[in-house]
Amino acid sequence: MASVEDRVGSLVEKHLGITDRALLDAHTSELGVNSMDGVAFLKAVGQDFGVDIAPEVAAGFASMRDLINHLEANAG
Amino acid sequence: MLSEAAGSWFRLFYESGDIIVTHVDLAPHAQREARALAWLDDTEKDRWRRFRFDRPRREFALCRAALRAVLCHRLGCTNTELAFGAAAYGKPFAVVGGTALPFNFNVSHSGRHGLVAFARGRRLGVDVEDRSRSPDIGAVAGAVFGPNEQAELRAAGVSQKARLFLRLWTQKEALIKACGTGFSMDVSEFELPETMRRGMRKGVFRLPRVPNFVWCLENIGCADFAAAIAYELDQRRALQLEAGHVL
Ligand SMILES: CC(C)(COP(=O)(O)OP(=O)(O)OC[C@H]1O[C@@H](n2cnc3c(N)ncnc32)[C@H](O)[C@@H]1OP(=O)(O)O)[C@@H](O)C(=O)NCCC(=O)NCCS
Repeated sequence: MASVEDRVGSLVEKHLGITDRALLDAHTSELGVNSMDGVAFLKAVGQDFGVDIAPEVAAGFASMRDLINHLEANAG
Repeated sequence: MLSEAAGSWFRLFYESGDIIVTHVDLAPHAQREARALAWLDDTEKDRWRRFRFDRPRREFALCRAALRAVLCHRLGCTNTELAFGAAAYGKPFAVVGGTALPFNFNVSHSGRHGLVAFARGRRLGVDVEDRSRSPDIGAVAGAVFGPNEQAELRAAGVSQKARLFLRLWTQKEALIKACGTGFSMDVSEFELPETMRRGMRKGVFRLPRVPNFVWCLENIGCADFAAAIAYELDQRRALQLEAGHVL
C-alpha cells in the first residue's frame, strides 16, 4: 500500500503538474497554484482518501506537508 | 516612471463611476519583466525570488508593477512611498507613510490576462479566467455551485457550458475576493442572483451569511477572457437598486 505522501505526491503531479517531490514541503504561496486547479486538486484528494476537506480547513494548509499530516490524522 | 502609455504592458480596460479596471498583458516578455521587477520593493522582490516557477513570478511582477503605477498616478505618491500590507487570508492593501489608504484594489491573473480593479473607499474583488484554458467543469462544479447552478450547467448545451461555467465561477470568485475570505468561504453554500445566472451584465447581491452588506456584481468579460467585479454598495443605493431602479 502506497504511503499517504506517495499518494498525495501522485495527485499533485497529475492535477497540478508539479513533479518535484521536494516541493511537498514548499510554502503553498511559492507554488502559484491557481484557485480553480486548487479546488479540483482538493476534490481529487477527497475522493482518493474518502474524506471531505472543508474549505476553511484547506485555507489553513501552509504546504502539501500540512495536507499530508491532516490526511494521516483524519483519513480512515 | 511606469505609465499606461504606448509600449507599456497595461492599459485602462473598463471605467464606470469610481471603478477602474486595468488590463495587464501577461505574455512572456523578458524586457517588461525586468522593468516591472525594478519597480518592486525589497519585500516584493524577495517574494518574486521565492516563487518556484516562471509563470507565477511573471504574473506577480507584471501585475504588481502595474498596480504600483496606477496607485502612484491616482494618489499622487511616489513609488518608494508605497508599500503593501495583507489582511487575514492574504488580501493585500496599500499603505503610504504607515497609513492604509482609502483606495481599494484587487488583482487577478489567468493565462495571458491580468486585471487590476480599483475603487475609492469601498471593498471590491475581481476575477479573470483566460478562455484559452479549458476548465475541468466536472471536477469543480460540485464543489463550488449550488443545486440550481449545477442544474443550469447540466442543462446548458455543449457550446455554452464552458461560457456559463466561467461566468458563474468569475462572479463567485470576485465576490469572495471582495469580502477578502477567498475560498476559505464555502462558495457552494450560496447561489448567484437568477438574473446574473441568466446572463444579465449587472446585479445586486447579499451573501446569506452576511446580509447587511450589499454587493454590486458586474460581468466584464470579453471574447478573450471571462471576468467579473464585485464591489460594495452603500445601503441607500442598494435599496434603490433592489426596489427595481435601473442599474
Ligand atoms: C484569494 C484567492 C481566491 C486567489 O485565487 P487565485 O486563483 O490565485 O486568483 P487570482 O489570480 O484571481 O488572484 C490572485 C490575487 O488575489 C489577491 N489576493 C490574495 N489573497 C486574497 C484574498 N484573501 N482576498 C482577495 N484577494 C486576494 C492578491 O493580490 C493575488 O495576487 P498577487 O499575489 O499577485 O498580488 C485564493 O488564493 C484563496 O482562496 N485564498 C485564501 C484561502 C485559501 O488559501 N484557500 C485554499 C483553498 S484552494
